[in-house]
Amino acid sequence: MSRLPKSESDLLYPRLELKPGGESWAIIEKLMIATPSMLLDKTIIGDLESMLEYGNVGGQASHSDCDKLSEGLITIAKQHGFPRKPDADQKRAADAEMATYLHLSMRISRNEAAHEGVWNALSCYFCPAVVAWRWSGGEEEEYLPATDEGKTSEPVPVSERWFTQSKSERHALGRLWWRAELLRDENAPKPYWILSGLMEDELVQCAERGLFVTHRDAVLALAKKHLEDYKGKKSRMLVFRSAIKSLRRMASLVDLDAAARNGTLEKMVSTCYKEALTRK
Amino acid sequence: MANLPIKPYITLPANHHLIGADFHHGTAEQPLSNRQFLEGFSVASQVEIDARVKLGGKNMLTEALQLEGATLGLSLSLHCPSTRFRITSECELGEARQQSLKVVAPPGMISKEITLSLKLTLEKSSPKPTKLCAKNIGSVLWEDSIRIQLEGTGATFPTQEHEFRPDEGGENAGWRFDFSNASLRGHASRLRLLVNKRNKNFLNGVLENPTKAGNSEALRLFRYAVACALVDFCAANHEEFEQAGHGFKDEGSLGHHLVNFLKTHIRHGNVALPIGSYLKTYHTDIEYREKIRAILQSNIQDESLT
Repeated sequence: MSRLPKSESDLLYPRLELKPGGESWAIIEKLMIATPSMLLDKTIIGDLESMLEYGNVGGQASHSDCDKLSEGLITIAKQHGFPRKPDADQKRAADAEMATYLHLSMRISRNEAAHEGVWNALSCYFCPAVVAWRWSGGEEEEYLPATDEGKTSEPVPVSERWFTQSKSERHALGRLWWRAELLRDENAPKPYWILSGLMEDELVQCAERGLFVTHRDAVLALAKKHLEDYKGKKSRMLVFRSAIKSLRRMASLVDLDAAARNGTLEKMVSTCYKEALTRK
Repeated sequence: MANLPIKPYITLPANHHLIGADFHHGTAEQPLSNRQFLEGFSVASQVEIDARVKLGGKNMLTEALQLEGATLGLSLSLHCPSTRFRITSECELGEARQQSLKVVAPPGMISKEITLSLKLTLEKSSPKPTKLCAKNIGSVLWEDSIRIQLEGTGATFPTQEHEFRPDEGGENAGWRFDFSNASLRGHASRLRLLVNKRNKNFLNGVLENPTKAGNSEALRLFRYAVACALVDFCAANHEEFEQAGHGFKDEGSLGHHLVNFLKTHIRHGNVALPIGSYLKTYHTDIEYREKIRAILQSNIQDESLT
């Protein structure tokens, strides 16, 4: 294992380790019921500052860097109606812009971003107003992942948007950064086109599918196909869900890298999508 | 295979005699084994993995797969679930009986655990396809994979320099654990290995120059002592392990990492020993504790002790 200097662009961000029932839980409960405007100052969250800590290897992003990040997010939120409760379109547009902004502004490695505490610190200490605004009123039905039969699954507790519990990809801010990181199309004139092109459930399908999301060529090919070819009466969400399921099944038998190398990936994607459109 | 436009085709099992692979960390001779710890990982380091593939001959392989005249390829991939990072290298299958592939994960891209996977794939179809041979380009014909834990990642095992006060051993002390606020259900960073900033011999010698004569043995003993301290901690909290049924659900929790640690180091060959009962008895029976320490010695691969 050779030692290399860590990239100059990577910084360590403050981390906040939390668990339900812990001492800090009372503060989190206050955060979850506060209004966005109330959270613009740090009166409620002051006690959390002493719990912030950093990782060990690398330069540190200062608290003022994180405050600036928060200001940028609030500016975006204001463009979409902050502090009034946003509608579904405003949420979707704000998500896309915030994801791009976070990804371009944060100098963070994937290793550091995989630390849940980083996102907990941003949501609970530095940017609580944005989280409160985005998730005010809890989960909306149109954002809930549905089953293939069209039934709505159990709502995700809003507390999972504030701090990471069982699934890191549900965190209000972490999920946005990871989407931008994983679904960025480096060869496109607008590398973050997929974030504004796809609907919430479609992004969830892309970004939260473990190994599949690492096959960026396949994910981007499917997203393009969906945006170009979707038509008909069948639910857009269910068509996409069905197509991605077929493609994932196929990926267990066919190496997607080998298919991409040999120029057969697009045909595979096309076959899966066509099948999803016509499946009864 | 409902809904899939692929018909069943011949594949080879992972342990087929015509193909096999060892995964190596860098130039290390000792191959990596499933669920092993990759020692000395740091976020600032790149990780180089080498897969050495032994083949029974290209013609025999294509014959076994009914793919005469086809072009086959090998691909090695490294995947990290927590960072969703994946890197692949590939080569065409040649006549040589041994081939090797290498992947390098750049600094900052992996964390906690990685999966190494080697696949034999169809690159170009056979000119005389049989009914049962693979036809789709990219079809996986054989696959082998292992999972590796990264020892020393921030989440798993943070290490911090700390100035030891006189009541902590002063400048001659080497290290100690900081278990403050550590609970098995809490995040792993609650557990920290503190190394004494004042002990330059330990820091600059043993830790910074582990390959220097004498230091490697000291480092092995250090690893063993650290492992003992972790088992002591687990034993002191054995009730929590029992309540959780050894299956800590919260990935990334201290308990989750310690269970992985115990599974890796308290075992006989490939068989994991019953951790719960070991920890319970360890707490009350000194002789039993010594037996567990002996098991640790054998599994920490500490040549200086064997």
